Amino acid sequence: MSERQGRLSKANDWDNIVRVINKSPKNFCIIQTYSGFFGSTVYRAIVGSSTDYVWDQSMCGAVANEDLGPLEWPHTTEGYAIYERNNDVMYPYFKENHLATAHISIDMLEYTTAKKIISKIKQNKILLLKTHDMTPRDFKCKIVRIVGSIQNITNLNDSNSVFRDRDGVYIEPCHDNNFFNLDVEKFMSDDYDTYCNEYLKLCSFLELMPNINNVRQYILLLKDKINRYEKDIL
Amino acid sequence: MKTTIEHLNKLIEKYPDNFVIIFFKGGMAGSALCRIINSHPEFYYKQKYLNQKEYNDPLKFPDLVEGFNVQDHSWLGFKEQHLSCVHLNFYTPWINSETQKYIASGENILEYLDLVNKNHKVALKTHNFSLVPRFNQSKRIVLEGNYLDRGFDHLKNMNYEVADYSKEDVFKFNIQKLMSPEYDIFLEAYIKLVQELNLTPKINSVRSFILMWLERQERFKRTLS
Repeated sequence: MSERQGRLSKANDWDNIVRVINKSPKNFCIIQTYSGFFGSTVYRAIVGSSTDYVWDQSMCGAVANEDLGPLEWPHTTEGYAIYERNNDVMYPYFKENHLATAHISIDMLEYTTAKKIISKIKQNKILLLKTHDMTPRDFKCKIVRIVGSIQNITNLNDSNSVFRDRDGVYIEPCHDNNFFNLDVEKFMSDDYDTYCNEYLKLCSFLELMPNINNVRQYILLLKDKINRYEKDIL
Repeated sequence: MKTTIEHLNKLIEKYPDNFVIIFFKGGMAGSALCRIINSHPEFYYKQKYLNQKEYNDPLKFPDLVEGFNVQDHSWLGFKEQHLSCVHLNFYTPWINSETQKYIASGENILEYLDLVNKNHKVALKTHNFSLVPRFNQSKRIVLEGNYLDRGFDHLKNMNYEVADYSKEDVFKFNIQKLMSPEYDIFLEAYIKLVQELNLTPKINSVRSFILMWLERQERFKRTLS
């Protein structure tokens, strides 16, 4: 697995990727998320709300040989597989990497190729892609942009957190027609009604049948893990 | 001949290792514990007993509706049952009456025979504490502690008291600790349960189920009770 925040390096297969996605935009959806803004959680919530999306064992993030659903936590380990930085360089923060994240095993849009994307396409399915690049507007498919701030979701801003130390980062919404701006603070809220309203807006934009309970159950456990990490393990 | 409850009682006595029996008073999350125990690979369940039609997992809440299906209940209305309870429609063969002659409505002795034949193990639950001495060959769990704060009117200001079963070899279990919002308290209680019943731990699944259960109690208390 690899992940890196920052602007998209368009030195890869970018033009081909844009061409593939724009040729059949109904078969793609993109999550645009700043690193640490719960992009994997939103990914899981979307795919866990509809069988229309591509999902297989290779994406589930399990360490052991478990075939997990998008909203399923590992049974044989505490958390998901850890992310490497790039080129097999490990983050030095195993605990947070393993215990307080919802990592999935997919290539970020900026590090994949058109060939890899095509290999993942399945008939009549939507392939959900993820990018940390908050700038591109090249795509015609639906884009879920995770906006707002995570400052009030976690207390990790003053810590050594790799994934959640985003003090002062505020992601502005984008008002293009194919964008939906998901307010991360509302989606991850402790307040059920606030969560529910934001999740239902997401479902409405993507035409998903809501799975309110199971998405909520997933989020509650993730928040429990983050709280434990903050309080006891850090 | 209609099946009497005595047929089932004798079955349990004959095959005590296939049954774990939870003894608890209403409002003490006996159904939640029953779901938790039966969800482990060492135990057995059928989706049709889970009071929802979507997921073959006792620890998942339904998504097409807010909560689990409701049943006839003597003191719980629709709101309490649907929104804050996690009732099952099986595993509760005894009704509370001392004069009970027949197996409870919805239960089926053939299912119990079948699971014994297949050597499956299940957790049952009852409010009928008079059965504690009788099933002394089976693992018996007696729920202890204080009443859980669930906003049920009829339980307000009541103390949860059960008789002293110290002479019986029962497993006394504090359900409040298992259903705690504090992870460490939950984990300690859960590990006790795992050790007592020789379960393969499913910490993430059980914890997420409990967190959801806790949130539903709070929502019910805050807005609906």
